[in-house]
Amino acid sequence: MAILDILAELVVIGVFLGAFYGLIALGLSLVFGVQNVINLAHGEFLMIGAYITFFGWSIFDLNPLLSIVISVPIMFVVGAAIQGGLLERIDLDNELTTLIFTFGLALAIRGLAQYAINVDYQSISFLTESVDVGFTAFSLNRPFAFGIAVISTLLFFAFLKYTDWGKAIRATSQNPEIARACGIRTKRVRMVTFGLGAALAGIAGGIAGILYTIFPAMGLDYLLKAFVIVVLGGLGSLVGAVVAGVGFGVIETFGTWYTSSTMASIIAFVVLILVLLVRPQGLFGRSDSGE
Amino acid sequence: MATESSSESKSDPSIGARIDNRLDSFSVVHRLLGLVALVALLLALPQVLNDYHVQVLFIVFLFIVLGYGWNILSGFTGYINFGYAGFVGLGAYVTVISVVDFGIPWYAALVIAGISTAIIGTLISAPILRLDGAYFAIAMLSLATAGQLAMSSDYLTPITRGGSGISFFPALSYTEQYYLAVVLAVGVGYATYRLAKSPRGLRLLAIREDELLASALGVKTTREKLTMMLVHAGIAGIGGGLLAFNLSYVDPSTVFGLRYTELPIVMVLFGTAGSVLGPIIGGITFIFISEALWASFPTLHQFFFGIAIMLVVMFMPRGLIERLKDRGYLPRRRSL
Repeated sequence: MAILDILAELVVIGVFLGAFYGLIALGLSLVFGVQNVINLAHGEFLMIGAYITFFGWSIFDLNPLLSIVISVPIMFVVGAAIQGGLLERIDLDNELTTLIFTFGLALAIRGLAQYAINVDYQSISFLTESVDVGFTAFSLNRPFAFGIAVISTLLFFAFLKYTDWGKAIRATSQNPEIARACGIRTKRVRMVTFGLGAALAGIAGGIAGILYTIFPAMGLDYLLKAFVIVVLGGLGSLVGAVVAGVGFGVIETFGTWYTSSTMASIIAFVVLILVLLVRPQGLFGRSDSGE
Repeated sequence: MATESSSESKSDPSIGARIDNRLDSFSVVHRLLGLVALVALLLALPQVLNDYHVQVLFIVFLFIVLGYGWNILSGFTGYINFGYAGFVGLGAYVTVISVVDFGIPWYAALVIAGISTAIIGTLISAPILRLDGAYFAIAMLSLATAGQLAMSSDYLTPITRGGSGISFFPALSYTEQYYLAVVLAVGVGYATYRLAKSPRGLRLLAIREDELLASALGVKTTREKLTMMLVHAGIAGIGGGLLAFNLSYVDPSTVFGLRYTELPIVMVLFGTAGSVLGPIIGGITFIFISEALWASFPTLHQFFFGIAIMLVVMFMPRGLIERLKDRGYLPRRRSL
């Protein structure tokens, strides 16, 4: 029974974690799907979201849930402004140009945060009391984070499915030229998409702030995990990102339990390379993405 | 005199064309003499400069070496390596462990570092290089992070001493390190010059412009990329060894630092990717700024060079050399 208890505990914690990972990967995959840009500054958007939640909690005594809600419009504006003001000025069709550009953007944001804030580790102590659910016990912030991640993901999918903007985003993702010919302003769609991606990263950042430590260079680790997940799920596939995120959360929880957290990170990169070798288009990838 | 009048008689006023004619008029002996004079001048500099200036110049030449190493794969083929610091760090560790634990002389340690980094780098990246450039770029970024983590992991701690790193007394003085950096920089610069003029250089540029088309025309793209990866990682390994001698210690966060990825990228992009003079121009433009910022504001360093990368991509996506060629200030030659 003891083994079954441990397995159940690892699966539950893994799924809690996985919903959060899926949320990070969702934003990355969305931006890639619409404009073929792999946003290497996604982790930095997450870091900004984490600091918004942290400063809301430490300075204004705000409930982290409220801070996360506030961070959504802020991050949306930041993202849309970066797309409209910077990314639209470069050659968006050249994948490598946009990669290098967002790499520079990530370095600039991270460097500015390290200079302006400080490089110390911060954390938010919120809902840290433990609950016992029979076979296992965990602190309350984990189901809280899970709840936020699930609600945000559902709201996002509902937005994509039922609103006009969502329809425009899906159309642009499928074929930008035809979307343009049908009267969709693809430039605005790209701005909204990038803003949404940043907002999703901001929510994920708030969750990361509740669960883990906050520091200016925190983004890279999440970016790399999100990239592994996006590749697992198939570049540009949103459902794939969520499913792969949950799977990745479970795998990582098991890896951490049986080895160490450092080894678990290395395992993640090994998984990435294996997936790239065996199935470059990802588990849910569109077969035309290799073209 | 004869060549000058002939260039005037062509009545082409552009500076690029005049340089073109002038370059053509130089014989092999002229070029060799020019190169020897340049190297002699660079090697004589420590006689008139103080230790601090020699150290700064060492950093410039070290980064020119690293820039050439990055350029030879990423500049020519367009396969962007965001994990270059991983190779630099690996080379630094191999060098220091060879010297400290095995008592190997410094020059042999550098050779070992170059060869082992080249082999390990090629083996690891061989599967990834078959894929699209974007996958390669991010896989390398995560590999460098994994490498840094691995150096301080429990499994490698007996060899690498974990996060605290290894200190040692380097066998080379600052001046000797500077000589070594100059010789290496001239060596890799010359190799890049030969590559740029060769059919192989053209094949590599073809991979960058359109890989599918290049392979349809008979370029063995994976083999070409792997060959360049060998050189690319080897140069990074030797550069890392040189860096370790200069620091007189290694630890994971220093030698795997982002600085050794971001600076070669911004240098090469600013100068023009896949060019011969690019890394030199980029090195002279950025390394003095980098050195000044690095000493006093290491966090602003990252900010500044992040902005620099963005500005170069926005306003000079093809680089300075290409811009000068477009304006007619430089001749259209692949060997520049």
